[in-house]
Amino acid sequence: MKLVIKEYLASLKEREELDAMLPNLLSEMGFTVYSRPGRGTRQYGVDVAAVGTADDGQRKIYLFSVKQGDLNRQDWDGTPQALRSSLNEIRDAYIPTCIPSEYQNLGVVICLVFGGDIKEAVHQEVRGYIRSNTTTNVSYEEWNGDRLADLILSGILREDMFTGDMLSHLRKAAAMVEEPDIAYAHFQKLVDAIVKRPAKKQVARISKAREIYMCLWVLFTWGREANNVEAPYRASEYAVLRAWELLNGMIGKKGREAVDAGIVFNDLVELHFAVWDELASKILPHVDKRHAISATVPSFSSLDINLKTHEILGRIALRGLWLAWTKSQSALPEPLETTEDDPLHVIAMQLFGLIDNNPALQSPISDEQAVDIALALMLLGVHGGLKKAIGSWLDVLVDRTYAAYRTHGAYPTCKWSYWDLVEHPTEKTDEYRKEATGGSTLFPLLALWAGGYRSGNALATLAKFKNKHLEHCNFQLWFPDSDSEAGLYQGSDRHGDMLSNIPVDAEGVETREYVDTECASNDNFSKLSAIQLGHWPIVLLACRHYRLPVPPQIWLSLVPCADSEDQGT
Amino acid sequence: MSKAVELYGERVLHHCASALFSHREHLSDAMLEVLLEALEDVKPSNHGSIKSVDVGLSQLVKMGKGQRVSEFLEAIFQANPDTLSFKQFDSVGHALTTKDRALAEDMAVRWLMSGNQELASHMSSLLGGSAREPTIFEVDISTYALSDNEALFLARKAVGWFFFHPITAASLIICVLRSVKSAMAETIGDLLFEPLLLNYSGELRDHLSARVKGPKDRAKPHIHRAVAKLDAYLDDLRAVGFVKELEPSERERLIERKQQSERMRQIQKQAEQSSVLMSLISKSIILHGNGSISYQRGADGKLHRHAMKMGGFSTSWEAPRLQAIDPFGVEMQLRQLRSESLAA
Repeated sequence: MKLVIKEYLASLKEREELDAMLPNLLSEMGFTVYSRPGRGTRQYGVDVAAVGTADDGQRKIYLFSVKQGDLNRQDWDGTPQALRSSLNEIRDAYIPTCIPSEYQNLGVVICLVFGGDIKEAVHQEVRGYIRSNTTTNVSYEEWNGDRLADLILSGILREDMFTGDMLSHLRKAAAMVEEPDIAYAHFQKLVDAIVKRPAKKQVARISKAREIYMCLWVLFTWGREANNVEAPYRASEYAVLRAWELLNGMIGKKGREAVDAGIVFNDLVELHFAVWDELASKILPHVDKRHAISATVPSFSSLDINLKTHEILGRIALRGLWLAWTKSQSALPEPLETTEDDPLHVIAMQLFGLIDNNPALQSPISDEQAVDIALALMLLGVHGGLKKAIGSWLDVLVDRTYAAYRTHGAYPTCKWSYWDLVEHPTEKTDEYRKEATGGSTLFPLLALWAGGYRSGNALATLAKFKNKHLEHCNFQLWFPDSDSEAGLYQGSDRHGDMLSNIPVDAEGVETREYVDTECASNDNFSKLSAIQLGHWPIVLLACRHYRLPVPPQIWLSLVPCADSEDQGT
Repeated sequence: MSKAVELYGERVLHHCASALFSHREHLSDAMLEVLLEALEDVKPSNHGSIKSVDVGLSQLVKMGKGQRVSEFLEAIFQANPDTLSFKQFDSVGHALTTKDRALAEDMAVRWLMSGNQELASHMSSLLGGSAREPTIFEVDISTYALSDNEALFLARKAVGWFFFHPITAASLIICVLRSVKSAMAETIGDLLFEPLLLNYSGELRDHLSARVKGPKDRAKPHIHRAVAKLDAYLDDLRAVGFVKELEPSERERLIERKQQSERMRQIQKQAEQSSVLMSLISKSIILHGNGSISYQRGADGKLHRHAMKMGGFSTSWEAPRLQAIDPFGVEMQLRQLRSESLAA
């Protein structure tokens, strides 16, 4: 296992990776971290500062200067970013001026941290530097990859907590990272085992979240090495959701535990974004090229292309909605003003480019894809300046779906196993068509958005579609129930209610009234911890990850009423 | 003649068909006309009569009477839209494509221009429906004196009906382009890129590139532009590289492969059932190796060795790219192209 951890440490980048992991490791070792890495420059050579107990039993200040990978001559000396310059800065500037007054009397340990090893060529020079700069008050320690791995295995992943089974799942997840289904299944079992371990104290729950964080890092670095972060991406979603379940009782409260819980959860979300960034770097530069993403799916099957492009649609939309969340102070998503260089504008345009250039996104094949379409509509709605884009996408979606249904083509079915979809439509008969469209969350979703965005064609077509062909189809939307808080973040399928028999009329008024009435009388949504604590993207993350329809309470605020002045034009 | 048919029914028509089959060289033009007019009423279920007519017509093509044959086929196909096709008239079809290509191309232009979907479908199966070298149109479209809209209509029909034979479709579009001088030529030329090259970037690109390098041709700038557009499009596709994260899972790949092999098994089964060759021979499965050895006892009572080495054969077919990327879009586009009428 140490080899797996060492491999992970060696591949960590210095910025936002090794220095981001370090505070979690230190906290778990009992250190009090008083300075964490922020974006931008370091403080006089110090990346992380903490107070802890040294081997001699004395409390000391630990100042960490971090370098990625192996320490070679170039990293050691000769440039302003080299480690030697940082150590000089610590000695000359940080120690005299930056140590908080309450720690002024403590001895100082300056730690040289790097994920790999010191190269032989610079070993003597480093030793020489340490010898000549060690004083009674200031000492130096090397924290190389080997030592860090030992600290992780005796700290965050220590044997009494992190059992053999868990180690085995982590090892297998890392080894099978090129087979995402298998790697993810092992990671899921690993996280489940961590979460299930009895823990009454809050601090123990924080430790669990740190374990999940560390394991996710290990999986991510292995995936990055293999140039395949599919398993880490799915794992990162699961990790965030389970960590929320562990920590939400502490978040937003006062006290040290609450602060630590907030920090760990934030680190996990940042890591989820880091995994996304890795994936997005392969996808987003090409979304404005015609068919580029579709053609990249290595399959001749139109089903595979359809499924993968919708999956990407949902992921991009969700990342955009996280950006909207950080930009907005509102308890629920709201239309925001954006400028050309605003990341929210950029990602919304990229999403629109993806839709425009990949026609599979105009022909959903499974009702389950309503989740991705809802997220995409939300991002376009949050942007505030893409109303026409929403209207035209809705028109195309409805037209093509209706035509596919009439011609027994690949219309959206309520079946969602790959076995069923690969053969869909199995028969070109009315009987099969009826069976394949027994229920729909997609059509009421489209109807409500079409009503709000004056997509009159789409709405009229949907009403005709329902009346002429889909009398048998139960138009429905998902609402959380009183069990949802317990089940939503862990992926239980035993919670929530479906609002059934939603009418669709050509004006959209009846549909809206029907859904609004239930929203007004159902308070289970607002009781979800993620909503109470203002973290609405967590609900969207759970819906995307577990393929649950997105509850209307979270997106209706983006859809003007069909008869309001504020309708999309 | 119609009186005779009325009185004696199909028997008379069968004799007419036999006459066309056996005595065509001795028939006067007037008599030939009488026979052909009567034979337009032959019933598709009378396979013997149909076969005789087919062979007779094929001989007429060879005798230079193709124009009349074309009229006859047009009439009989229109009268029997669901039952007769070049499947029953394979001899005359073969004669048209091998002995009088100019007539076949002329028929294609007229039948496509007619907007009649049945006729266009027959032409599509005649000129595109075999594994032979693709049909390449050389017809001079200027002789039809088409308006700009009619030229566009013909080019769109060519795409619709020869979509699965892209070199054939492109060659007809190129013929149209040679006859159009106005800005409409650009619109027609765009069809070479979309949907043709967009779907078929293999053999069609090679074919069109060769034309760009070939002799002087008025259509060359349009071909060049279409190929350049394709190259830019393909550059964009290649720029993405291999994204492992988009790969279907092992399980999905297995299911898809199983389904694909089941589809192939069904196709093979159907092909064997309708194959003349397979009905004449017996089938024997060789499990390993590259040859078969067997012994048969001869009249002399001795065992005689029979050895047979296996050969291999293969054929390739380029599937349209958008069939995977946008199957519904392709289907709708083909429906539109095939069914649209010439705007007044």
